[in-house]
Amino acid sequence: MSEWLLIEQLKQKNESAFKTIVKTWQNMVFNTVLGIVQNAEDAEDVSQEVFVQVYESIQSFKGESKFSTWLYRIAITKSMDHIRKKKRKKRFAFIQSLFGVNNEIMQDPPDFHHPGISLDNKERAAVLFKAIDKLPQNQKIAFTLHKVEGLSYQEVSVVMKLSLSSVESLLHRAKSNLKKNLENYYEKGD
Amino acid sequence: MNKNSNIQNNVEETLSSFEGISSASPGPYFFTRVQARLNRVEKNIWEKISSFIARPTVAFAMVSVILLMNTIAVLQHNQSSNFTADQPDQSVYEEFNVAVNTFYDYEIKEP
Repeated sequence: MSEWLLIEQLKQKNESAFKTIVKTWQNMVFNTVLGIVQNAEDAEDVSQEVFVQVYESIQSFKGESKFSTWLYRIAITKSMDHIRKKKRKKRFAFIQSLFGVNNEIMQDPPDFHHPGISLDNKERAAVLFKAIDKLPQNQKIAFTLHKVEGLSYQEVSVVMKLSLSSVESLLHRAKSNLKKNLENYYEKGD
Repeated sequence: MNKNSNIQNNVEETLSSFEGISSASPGPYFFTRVQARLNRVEKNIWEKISSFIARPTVAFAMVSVILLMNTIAVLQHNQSSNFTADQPDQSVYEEFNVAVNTFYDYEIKEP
């Protein structure tokens, strides 16, 4: 069944069309969200939210961009919202702990291990994910889309609604920031 | 020197650790969970509306609008009541016959 037909059927709230859409794009959405939120449970939760959003707002999809591009945009927005919410909760818990309301010890999140990384690179990839997490938002998104999701510069520019040169400069800055972070990490470790 | 090159090696190897990464997939029965979530969302539409109204920004905006409307209404009422006090409407006089009669009216004898 063609993509266009599926979308038209989803606009009519056809359940089997929705099922096909979820099954076709669930890996793409999950992988993107996982790369950004860096937690499997959270990624599953956010991915579900993405498809709920797709179901609810399919009427607003006019077909000006590819459906996958639209999906990527929703996935990125939802992931960033999730990260913001999590940070807000963390800050609130910290303030509560200052006033003695919440005496739970605040812990740093454990290292994130992406299931698609080979065993040899597991530890190094966890270090890299930690460094990616410290990047500014746009650099983080561009780097994740390019390196984790495997999108080309051109595809990243379409998803992020940026020019090709902006994406190139974003990725260049992301790499140099990552290098600095990693140098600091390994200097302290030695 | 040796330490620096060791760090650089580590950095380069770490940066290339994503090479050959394969796509991750969600757990089984993902669609069923999406469907369950969708039903939950549809049921909770009133909860969503009430939580939207209860948001501090929305509540503050609504209170401000109500206060503004009240202020406008009070000001308009004051303006209109001033106007009627100064210049009573002729039609009201005619309707209720409240025009002040002169003493000439009283002197007219009924036949």
